[in-house]
Amino acid sequence: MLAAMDSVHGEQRPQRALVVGADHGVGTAIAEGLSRHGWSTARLGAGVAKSQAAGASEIESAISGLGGLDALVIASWGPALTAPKPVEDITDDDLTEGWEGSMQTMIWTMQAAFPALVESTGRVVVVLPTTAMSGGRNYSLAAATFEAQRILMKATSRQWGPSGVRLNAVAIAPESVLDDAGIADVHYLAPAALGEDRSEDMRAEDLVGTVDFLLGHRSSGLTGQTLGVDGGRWLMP
Amino acid sequence: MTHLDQRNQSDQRVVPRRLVGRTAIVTGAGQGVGLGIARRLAAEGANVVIAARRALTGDPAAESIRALGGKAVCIVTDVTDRGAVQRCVDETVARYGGLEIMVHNAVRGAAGVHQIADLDASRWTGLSQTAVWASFFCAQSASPHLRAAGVRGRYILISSPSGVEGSHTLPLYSPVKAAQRGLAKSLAREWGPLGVTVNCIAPVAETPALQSAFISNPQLKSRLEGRTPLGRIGDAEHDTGAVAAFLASDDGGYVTGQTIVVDGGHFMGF
Repeated sequence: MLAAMDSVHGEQRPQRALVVGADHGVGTAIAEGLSRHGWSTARLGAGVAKSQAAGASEIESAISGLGGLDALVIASWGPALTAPKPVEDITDDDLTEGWEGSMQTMIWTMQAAFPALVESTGRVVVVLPTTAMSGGRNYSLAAATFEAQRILMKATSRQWGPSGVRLNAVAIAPESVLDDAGIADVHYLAPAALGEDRSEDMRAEDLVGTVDFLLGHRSSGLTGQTLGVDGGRWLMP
Repeated sequence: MTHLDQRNQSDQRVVPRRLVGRTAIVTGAGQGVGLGIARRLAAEGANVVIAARRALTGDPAAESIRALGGKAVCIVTDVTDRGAVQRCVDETVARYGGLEIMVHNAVRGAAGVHQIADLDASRWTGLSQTAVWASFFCAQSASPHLRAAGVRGRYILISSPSGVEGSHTLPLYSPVKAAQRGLAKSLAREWGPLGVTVNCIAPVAETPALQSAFISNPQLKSRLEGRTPLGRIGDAEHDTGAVAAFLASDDGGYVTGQTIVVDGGHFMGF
């Protein structure tokens, strides 16, 4: 495959990205947006690596198809996380699907991608809702899972930094992910600092622009960080 | 005056009796941080249930509290078993007539440096089941009783500073401890209207596990103390337990959804 190239200060760098979670709206938007920004992309579903063996097989196959890997985007969530449910009603199936599925997909995907990322001094971006930091009423499983993903990103950024691999997170507005963000009871998130008139048209391209920035050369000084891309509704560190 | 002298001097303060008539379950209380919390809650007057996986540690822990005049029993409980957690809660309520305070501290698989790049699934399973699945099991089993307790209802999760900052050496321990923080914030919103509070404590305290690490790495203790502003490793009862007792008491009734880092000032990143 002829890989796309990124030119920074005259240096040519391949742009091969794997998007995990490209089977839902946010992941699809990122994959399509990265293609528009010149990336060669491979796309896998959110539950692609629920076991270590499955992760190794699927991820290595996708990386082989790209001819290497410069960037990994993880936007891994499913219905068990996006549907509101009081804690008392959360079942073992919810924990298996929502918690284990999302966490193990992230862990085994990163593990399988690590050799290729080291080779390219690549980048990882984890996409999640600000619910990770705020919590959300009737979204305890989602908040637990997304905050765990965010902190796993931070811990891994410490381990992989010496190898040149950078990891960061992008935190997006809850309504971009949750079925009923209104029930989550996070009043302080509104209004957006950029103004409500920008809340609709900013999401896809501004999200892609930030992801593209974090995946590229210009963000080489950033790792372990969480960037809010929600129009300024989450303003806490 | 040494740091130990300073600590002993502070320990001579009178322990308040803020929890008389209240009942607490503390998981993983056979030793370490859990036992320290159980001792402090009992010292403040609570009926304490030591929910330990093994009677080998749980029974002596309860006996040690009773020997000091406290009220404590051990109920052998594997927190990764939803039914076992429910039976522990049921037996507690049958014995004492209610449950006001649930403390989930148990965790398995935390020890040992590991690398994301080459770990296997077994390390994840132990951490996930004890820290996360069990946090949900404890919340669900305790829920009707904490709701009934209203403004005296408390759910306290023992997290870790690594669940906030991410640990270079324990990358799987960090996310399971972070998950507890996300759960606590959400439950604080769900149960807040009832008056029930939900919080996390992120402690660093001298435990049998940490003492073992000091033996295998003699420089570790002085290194930890050196980077801690207060200059010492925390005490499970007098430092961590005191914060748990505050949160469990009426004094902590307006604190919810928070993580209190009890590590001598090492982490100040909030």
